[in-house]
Formats: sequence, C-alpha cells, structure tokens
Amino acid sequence: MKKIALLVCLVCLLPLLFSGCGKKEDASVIKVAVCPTSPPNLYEENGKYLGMDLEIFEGFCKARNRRYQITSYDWQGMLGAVIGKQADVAFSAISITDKRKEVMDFSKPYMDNTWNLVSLKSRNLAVKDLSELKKYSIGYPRGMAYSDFIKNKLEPQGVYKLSDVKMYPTYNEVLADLKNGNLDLAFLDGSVASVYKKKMDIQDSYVFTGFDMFGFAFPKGSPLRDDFDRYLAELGPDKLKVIVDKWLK
Amino acid sequence: MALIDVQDLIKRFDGKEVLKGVTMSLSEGQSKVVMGASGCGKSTLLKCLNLLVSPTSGRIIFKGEDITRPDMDIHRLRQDIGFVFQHFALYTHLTVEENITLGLRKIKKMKTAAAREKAAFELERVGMIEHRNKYPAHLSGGQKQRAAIVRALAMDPAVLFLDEPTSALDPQMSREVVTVINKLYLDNITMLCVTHDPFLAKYISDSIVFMHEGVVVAEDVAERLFYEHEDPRVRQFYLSVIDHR
Amino acid sequence: MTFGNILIILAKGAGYTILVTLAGIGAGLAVGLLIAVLQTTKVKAVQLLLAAYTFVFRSIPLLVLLFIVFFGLPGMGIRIPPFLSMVLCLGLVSGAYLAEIFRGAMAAVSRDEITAAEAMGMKRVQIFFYIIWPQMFRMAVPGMVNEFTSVLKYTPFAYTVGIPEIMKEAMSLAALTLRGLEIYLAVGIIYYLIYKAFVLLFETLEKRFRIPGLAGE
Repeated sequence: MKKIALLVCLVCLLPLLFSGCGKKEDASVIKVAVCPTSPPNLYEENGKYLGMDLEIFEGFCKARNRRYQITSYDWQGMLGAVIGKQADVAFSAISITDKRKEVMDFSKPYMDNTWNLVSLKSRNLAVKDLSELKKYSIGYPRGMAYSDFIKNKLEPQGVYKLSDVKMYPTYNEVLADLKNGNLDLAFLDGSVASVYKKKMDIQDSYVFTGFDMFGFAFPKGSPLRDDFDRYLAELGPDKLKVIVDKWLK
Repeated sequence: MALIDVQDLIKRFDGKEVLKGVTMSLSEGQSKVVMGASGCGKSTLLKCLNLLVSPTSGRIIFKGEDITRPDMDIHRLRQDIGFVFQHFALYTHLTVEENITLGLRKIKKMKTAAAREKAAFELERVGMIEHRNKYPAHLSGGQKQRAAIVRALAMDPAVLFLDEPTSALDPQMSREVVTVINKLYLDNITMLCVTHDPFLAKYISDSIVFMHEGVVVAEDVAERLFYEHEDPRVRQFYLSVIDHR
Repeated sequence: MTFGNILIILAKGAGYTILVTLAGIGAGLAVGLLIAVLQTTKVKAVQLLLAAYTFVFRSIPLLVLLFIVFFGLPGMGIRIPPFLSMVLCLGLVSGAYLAEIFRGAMAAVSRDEITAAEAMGMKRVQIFFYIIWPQMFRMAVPGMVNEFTSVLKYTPFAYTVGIPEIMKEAMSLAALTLRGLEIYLAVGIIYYLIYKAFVLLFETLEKRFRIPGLAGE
C-alpha cells in the first residue's frame, strides 16, 4: 500500500521535475520560430535545419554579431509564437497578407513566390497566352488561394471557370493524376514546385508573379524588424537574388 | 465507580426524538445487553456513547470524564472503545491480519512486528489464525465477524461495543460468533451489546437493559426479564423475537 | 529510404511524446486528486467552484486551452515555457476528467468501512490515506487507463508550442520526401506501440495490486 502511495506521489511530481530542466533565457539570443515543412525555404534534414530563409537570417546574425536559437513549431504554432512574443522572429516561407499584418509586423519582402502551372515534361506543354488555358484541365487541392484568384481574376476575363477546376484532397493525388495523364496542369506555388521538380519530370507551363510575397515575421512593434530591414537594404537586391536562386534552382 | 454513566441522554434527529432521556451505567468488567424493538433507539444510544452520533442533551461520563463537552478529543475517546458492527465493516482491501494491525500501527503507533505478534495472539484466541492472510471477500460471515471482533479487541479498549453482531448471520454462523463473545464474557471483558437476539443476550450478559420508544423501561438479568417481568411490553417483545427463531 | 529508416527517424520524437504523456498524467493525477479531495468538503461555495471547473475544462478543446496559455497569457505578461504550458493544459483538462473518475470510485467505497475507521479513532486524513485511497485507486483503474490514453493522444498538440515530438519529425520528413502515406502510417505504428506499452504497464500494476472483492477490471 505504501508502494502505491509512493508511486502516485512520484508520478504527481513528474511535471515539476521536468519543468525544472527548462533552459535559462538569455535576452541577447534571438529566439527563432520555424516550421520545417517548407522546403526549400526551411526544412530539416538529418536533424539539421536548412533553407533559403535560414541562410538569409544567418547572414543577418553574422553581420550584427548576434546568436539565435531555433524552435520548430507546426504552422499555427509558429505564427502564434510570434504573435504571443514567445519568439522574436519567424520565417518559413510566410506569405505577407493583410490579415497577418494586423497581428504581426513583416520585413520587406525577400522573395516573390510565384504561382506555377506545371505539366509533365513529356507532354511539352507550354501556355504562351492565357487564352489557351481553356483547352487544358487544371487541378489543385481544395481550400487553396488559387480558387479566389480564378474566380476574381480569370473568370471575369473569360480565361477559366472555377467550375472547370479539378479539386483533390492533397497534392499527392494531384500529382498522381498528372502522372497518369488524367490532368494537364497542376497549380502549385514556386517553392512547392521546386521540391516536386526534384522528384518528378515536370516543368512550368505558365508562371504568375506578384501575388504572393514572402517576408520575415516579427512581433508587433519589434525593433528587430527595423534592423533586419536595414540589413536587407545593405545586402542589396542582387546578392539577395543570388541566395534565392541558389535554393530555387 | 462506573466506567460509563449515562444521565438523561436525549437525541433528536430533525425534530424527532429518538432518545428521550436515557439513564444507565456500565461498570468495569461488566457486560450488559441493550434490547428492544426496532426503532427503540438502542443503536443510536450505542453510537452516542462513542460520539459517532452527537447527543442533543444529557451527560455521558466515561472514565470520570464528561465526553459531551465541546472540547472533547473524540479520537482519543474512540481509541478506548472497540466497536463491532452488524455488517462487519472489515476493510475490503486489507487481509485479516492487516485489518487488525492497521489500527495498532497507525493509531497506537506500534512497530509492524509487534503489531503482527499481537494480531496473531488475538486471532489464535478466536480460532482464526489460519485465515490471517485471507481477504474479507474470501471469508464466511461468521469468520468476518470474528475477525472484526479481534480487530476491535486488539486495540485493548476499555470497553467493547457490539451493534447487532449476529443479526446479519445465519443460525449456524451466529452460534459461532455467540461462542466467541461468550468466551470474552467469561474472560470478564467489559461489553455493551445491542441486539434483539435473546439467545445471544442470555449467554453474554450480566444484565439486560430493555428500551422502549427511547427510554429504558426495565433492567434485570436475562431469566427474570424474559420469563417473569411484570411489564407486558417486555414479555411481548420476548415472545415476538423468540418466534423468529 | 526504407520504411525501417522512417520508423527510426520518427522514433527520435517518441522520447518527447512519452515524456509529455508521463508529465501530463502526473499533472492530471495531481489536479484530479486535489479536486476529488476538495469535493468531499461540504462547503457549498467550494463545491460550486469545483463543479464549474470540471464543467469548463471538460468542454474546452485542449488546443484552444493551449493557445490561451502559451500564446494568450504572454499578452498579459505571464510567460510560461512550452513544456510547462503543455503539461499544465494536459493537467487541467485530464484532471477534470480524472476528478470525476475518482469521485465515482470514492463513492463506491463502503460507508460502513469509513464509519468503522472513525469508530476506531482514525483521523480524517488517516481514513483518507489508509481506507479510501487504496480502494479508490483500484476501482478507478479502468477509468484512469482510459484517460491516460487520451493524454497520449493529445500529445501531438505539443508540437504546436514547439516541443519536437513524433508529429514534428513526421511533418518535417513528409515535407522533404513527399512520402506522407508511409510516414503517417509509421506514426500510427509508433503511437500504437507506446499505447500498448502503457496499457501493459497498467495491467501489470493492476494485477500486482489486485485484491479480491474490489472491482478493478
């Protein structure tokens, strides 16, 4: 009976024990929140964080002689960490949107995320003018931003009807159908496309630009944001482009 | 001097008077049985005496001390009163031996070895030693009640209270338990037993207190009370319980 | 990369999953016991407060609570580290459920035995420790195992606050290899193994402390 009591007490004390091992906070270390499911901007390989966003940020830290510490979250958690000031900065291909701007501050955009219509290389399918688009079937997973784009931009111009789009549960099914020849064009963003291009023989048939800008996310009123923007200016568009292209190729 | 002296004890539950002024006493070495029809207040009386039920008014003197006073240490009082229940009330999660040693170790602060020795000694007395490692679920009713008696006795109380100790048992097991209590009676253990079993009453008492509707109406030795008492209520009660058997 | 490789990579996160589960169980037990004990007091205000507590924390989704604690409280100047946030939330929620389980088990302890202990001269605390708890725990085992399983299934939320458990490994791996189906299948297998280990542990404990006459199974 004593044993039970002891066991219960021990288990009850567990949380205290673990919470005691928390790391000491060091204000000079920049706390970074990432979501490592965003290659090539940010991902994890063999236990190491890699990606374009990290390379840019490492450059900033080197220039300013600062240290950083990465914590990985899921997507909501990463954004929440910035909003709740648990993190000083978040980056992992975060699109700058008006909604997000209400609760966090963004750096100047560092990358224009393209929207790509891709097809199988073997089909040799190139869309030279948007009016040709009607001839082909387009597919992407449900719930993507492309629906708004098609409905508000393409449909009024008579380019493409939303009701003609093939909707899928995930990109797995989209690309499987593309491979089978049941689908002509898959709609993906530039970063996702760059990952699939390494796995499959696909190519861009048409590329939309200027819709989706990536930025580094900071808590509201963050002084770090201003410093980071200064760094981007110091770096200059050419050097930035070299980094971006290196990861996108 | 009496060990327990009850004077004009009154107990009301929600305005209903269950004890209407009970006066009785119990001397050291004496064994008394309280009898009476169901609802006469005999069980309430017993529970008042160890403050499981707090009396409304009246005085209870235990070992020369008025235990009804508000600053009474009820834990100390109860340690001095062994209590045996109708439904045994053995601790389900403990073996017979652990049932007995729990109080010795936790209340009397005895060392485990000494407590076990004491338990073995007492179990031997009631012929239960071979059952000491069994759990209550594996005992017969008679064995459970014997174990419960030992549990109470092992604490070396000044008095042993028994609340209907045989009424949850069939006749065979009941006799088993009567034999054990009779042995205690012959050993001059101070006892106060509530029952409506005349067989038990006869074999374990120096005198019988008869209660009716919250008051003591007669007190005498068993023979005179059962066969010769002038109060018709007493004779009627005896005839009614004797019919049950 | 073979399926075996995937399993090994994901198993890295299993340590955190188990740690969060154990700590969550511990916090849940502490909260649950505290509430169960407080519920035995007869003060009306306390009872009302506890009833409100169990009602609220049994109805609030864990993820919502986690967002309030980890991302909301800092706005009020209260900063709680990730692991503690997760454990606190698990404890608050599972504590509310466990309290109900304990309350039921406590009510099943025979009134006669408690009276017997009082008549023996035991104090309230002693009665709690020596009579009520040992019986209550045994009777609460099935309910407790159920609740602990829920705690395990809540652990993927830990990744939301940045604890690198199994789901984190799975999501980063899936993003890189695009082999979601296999990876999440492997995740399922690992959770099943952890679940099975927990159940086995409790079955062994339950058998070890089983007592005839007390309903455990």
